[in-house]
Amino acid sequence: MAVDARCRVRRAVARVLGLACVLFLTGCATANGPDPLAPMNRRFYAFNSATDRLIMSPVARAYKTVTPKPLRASLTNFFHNVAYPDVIVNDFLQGRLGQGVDDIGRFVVNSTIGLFGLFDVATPLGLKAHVEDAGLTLGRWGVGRGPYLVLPFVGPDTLRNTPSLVMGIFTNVLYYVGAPAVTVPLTVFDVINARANASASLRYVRENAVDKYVFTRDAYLQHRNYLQDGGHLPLKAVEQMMMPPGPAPAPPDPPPLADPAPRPRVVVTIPGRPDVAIRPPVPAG
Amino acid sequence: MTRQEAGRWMAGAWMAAAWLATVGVPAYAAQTGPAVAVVRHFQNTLIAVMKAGKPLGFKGRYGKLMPAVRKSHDVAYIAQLTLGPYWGRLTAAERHAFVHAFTKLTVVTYAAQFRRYSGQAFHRVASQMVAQRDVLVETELTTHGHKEATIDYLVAPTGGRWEIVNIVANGVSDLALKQAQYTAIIRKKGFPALLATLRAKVAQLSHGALKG
Repeated sequence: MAVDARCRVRRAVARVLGLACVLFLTGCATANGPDPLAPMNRRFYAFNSATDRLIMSPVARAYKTVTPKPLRASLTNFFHNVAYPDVIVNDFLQGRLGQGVDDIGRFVVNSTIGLFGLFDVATPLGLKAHVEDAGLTLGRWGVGRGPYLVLPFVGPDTLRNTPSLVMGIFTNVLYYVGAPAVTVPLTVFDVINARANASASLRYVRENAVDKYVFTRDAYLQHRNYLQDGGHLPLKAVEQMMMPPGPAPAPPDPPPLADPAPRPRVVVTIPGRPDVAIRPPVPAG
Repeated sequence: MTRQEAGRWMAGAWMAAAWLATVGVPAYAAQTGPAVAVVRHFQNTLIAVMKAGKPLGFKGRYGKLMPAVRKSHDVAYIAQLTLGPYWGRLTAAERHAFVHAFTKLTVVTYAAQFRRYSGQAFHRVASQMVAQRDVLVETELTTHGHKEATIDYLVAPTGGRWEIVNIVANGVSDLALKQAQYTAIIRKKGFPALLATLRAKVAQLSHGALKG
């Protein structure tokens, strides 16, 4: 159904805000590499955090107070379902034909038997949800990740992933519903619901991170790598991490005392455990 | 293929399967079994602490988890890796102070996060040998039967014991996260600032009950 351009723009902005919130919430991991835009990113990160603290967090708290958990779960299912065509389109763009067919089945089942997506009846039938988007598609096509970005109102992102923001608008069912009286309130609900769902994750970051920006960046990038790999553990990266570190970069302060101990693991005592002061590696074979 | 040949082929396949079931699998299980047992025991402790979370209180949970973490994690080695190349620049006293604060923070974090039970359960999915004779134990965390996260443990043999050296949740490595944060703080502000930050975090998460 056609709508006038102003309404389209309004909805598009609202969808971006919705996506932003979701990304803001889910964003956290580094498989790192350099962060050339760190100074700008940190400023936007602070802006997003303040916006969340002053506006989104209180609104999400009030929303959780007045909506019972089953209703929130159903709304989450609904918003997930209306955005699901994005996954289907990207399945096919990546050449994952079988997964694409399964995802069409999932979308049809949840949209019909699941009452417009309010209930996820597809998962118990074996049609599990997948995560695909334009950024993952570009990655599969061999496009480099580009620099890490923090976008105002959107949150963690990478340059390669930015087309997802636009594609997510045009592949969302709500974009084609046409009546702003329906879509605008729904989009607002989508944003608030996503923020409410992310409360626990955000609280974890707030309570446990010693550098929230770095924590969020590394968690986000690691998780994106994981999704890029089809949800498989990046074993090589994990194994690499367990290898002894190389020499320290610059020596601004005291000169090195000794090379870092390699695999023979423990170098100092654990508090209260003098017995484990030195533990040689298990001999191979 | 004649029916007789097909029959022989099927019999061969069954025998191979039977051999794997009786010989191959236990041999593999013997390699990964001790590592799996360490993870399972630690997860059981977490669930037990969550179930008794309220009556135990923070200090009670901390008291139960400290020995469990020491028994199952190679905390000193993890601490060393989190500092990456900077570990080599620390004095023995600094290393000791860091491992002490890191151990406390690790346990305090568990005690703060796993404070109440609401239907959580851990399920083992698989285990496999990886590089350096380490074992990767793949598990899932569910709440009331719904999958919440994939949690993988890297377990390493040290001194005849198996100990957890890294935990990866949904592809996000706890060790990598800590390394990125800690080295960033050292780079900008130096090691004393990092130590002070960890100690402050211990005090914050324990609501002042513990000092770093």
